Amino acid sequence: MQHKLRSALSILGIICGTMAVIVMISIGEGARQKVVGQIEQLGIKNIYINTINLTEGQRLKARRNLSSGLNTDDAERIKTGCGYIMDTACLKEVSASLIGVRLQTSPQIVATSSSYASLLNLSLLQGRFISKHDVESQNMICVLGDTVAKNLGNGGKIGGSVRIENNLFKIIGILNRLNHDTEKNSVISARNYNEIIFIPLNSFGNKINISVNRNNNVFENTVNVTEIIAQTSNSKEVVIAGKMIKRIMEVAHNQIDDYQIIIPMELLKQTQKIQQTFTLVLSAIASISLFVGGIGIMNIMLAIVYERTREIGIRRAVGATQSDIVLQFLTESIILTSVGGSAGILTGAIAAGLLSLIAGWETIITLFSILLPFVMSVLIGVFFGLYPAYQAAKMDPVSALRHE
Amino acid sequence: MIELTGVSKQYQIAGNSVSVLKDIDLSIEKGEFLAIMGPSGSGKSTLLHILGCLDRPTAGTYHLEGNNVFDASDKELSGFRASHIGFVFQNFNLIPVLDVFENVELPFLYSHFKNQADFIRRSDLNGKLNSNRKSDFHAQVEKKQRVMEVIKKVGLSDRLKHKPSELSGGEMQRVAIARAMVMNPKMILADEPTGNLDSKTGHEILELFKIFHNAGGTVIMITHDIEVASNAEKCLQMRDGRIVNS
Repeated sequence: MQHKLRSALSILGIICGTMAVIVMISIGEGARQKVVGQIEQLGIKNIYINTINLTEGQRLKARRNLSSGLNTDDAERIKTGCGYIMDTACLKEVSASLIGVRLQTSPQIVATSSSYASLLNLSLLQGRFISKHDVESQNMICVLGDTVAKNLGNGGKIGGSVRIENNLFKIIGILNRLNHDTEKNSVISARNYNEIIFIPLNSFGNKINISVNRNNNVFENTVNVTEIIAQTSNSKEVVIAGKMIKRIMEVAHNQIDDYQIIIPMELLKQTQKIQQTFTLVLSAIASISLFVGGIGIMNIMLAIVYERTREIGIRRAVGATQSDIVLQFLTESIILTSVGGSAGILTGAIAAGLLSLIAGWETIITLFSILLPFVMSVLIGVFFGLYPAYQAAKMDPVSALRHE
Repeated sequence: MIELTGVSKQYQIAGNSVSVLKDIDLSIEKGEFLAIMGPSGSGKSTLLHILGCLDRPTAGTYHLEGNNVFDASDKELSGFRASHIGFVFQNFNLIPVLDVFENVELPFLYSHFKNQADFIRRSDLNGKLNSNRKSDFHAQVEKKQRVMEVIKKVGLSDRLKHKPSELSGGEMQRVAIARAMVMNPKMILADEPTGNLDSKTGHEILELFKIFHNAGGTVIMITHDIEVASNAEKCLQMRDGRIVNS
């Protein structure tokens, strides 16, 4: 190890390679965790059935085929028709606004059934969520998101009321704060529950006059909704349940596609596929640079072996076996590569940190992302050190001793 | 102890086979002090390398303590070298990056555990500890004691942390002798040990060989110098790969 500069240069390739590996894994892991986080907010056991805005022609066709759009009856059909579904919730986006208060951002007002909170794991900071009774008796109550409640100040407490269009709604609950990613690039994103006001599903149709409510219902108490959420008992059943729901909906809507079915679990698989391409490119870069780095190691090890020929002869003369010599030089090459590997891991971790700081990419350094490049650098030390070490071991001791 | 019959050695140089040793018969008893003389190229060094298990004969048999060296594996030969043989060279052959202590300690690195335990049993000086129950720690302590002991014997106790480049020729050769003696070998093989030293230092070095010899060790030494050879009990003349007298 006398030639510090030479050794340092020779491990550059290993440093770059391991750096690429750790950066690759941490970016991948960061992206994965982000998607997983989103999917988890949507619920891995959930299936979403959303309304699609129809064009005029499609609407005509829908009317001809007696499809009335997504409504609460669909939720009932799904719940009774598909055995995997444990519960359903309905949600209707209401285009109404708060009256009498000035807020920086206007909260989204949604009318939901009582099961919505449990299906999406919403927890309450204070009070309670909308109950079944509230929906049935069309109570004029509401549950506020954290930000909404805070922005309302003193008026945003339980027992207070908010005015939506021409009606006063009593506040009965405030949600816990939830982290919300503002990322909008996925097919479906979780709602921002901090900026939301929940009201009971029925209170909307009867008490507020809004143009959206173009009811041509078959049943008296059927309400059109924007979203139905169906939950299975575990995440393995979502795919098969999704197929059954598709069938049920086809029959119920007379083959009219005025809805779409989204399964968050399947979105996860899609994003993973996209990510695989990215990982493939980076692993190619990493392996090329590790390979070139390995050749650098082999090169310097051959030089070291040649320079220390006489030392090999001396060691052999005092009793070193061929395997002792192999072991000695293999150890040296492993030390070289693992020093390179550690340096690469360190710089890679810093690079990953800078990436999330500057580019805003989420990176997560896991134990695996540290261990894998380290193990790889050790293996490269073994693989590319083996030939020089073997060269050293098979030298004739007598001529090695005479080497100048 | 050493029994050579019909030993020859040939090298292939540029397609021609060159005979370096021709049909050598030699037997050396335990505790002998033998000098080998002869002109350059007479095969002295090759004979010494074969005796020292660094090289194998092309033909003939070599029995070292009843073991046939011709058939021995690399591992067995290395084992012989580690436990039975100490080498001393004309150009000292110390490892430049290691200090005096580390150079002398070197053979311990290659005396695998069984040999090391044997060694400790053989050289159990105080006899207080039962060798079978010795822990690694005790082995380490004994090893250090042994290294210090031989360094003291060659008179370099004040040079422990010096690198070979900081030593004189005589001192370097003392380190080499300490290294050769540290494992308590049965014999020391020396290839012109005084060749690079002035005659005064040469005498001091020869004294060390005599001490080893007087303790019952076998010494085989190559030399050009008749005066040096006169220190030996027996002198072997070599010419053109053959022993001329004995």
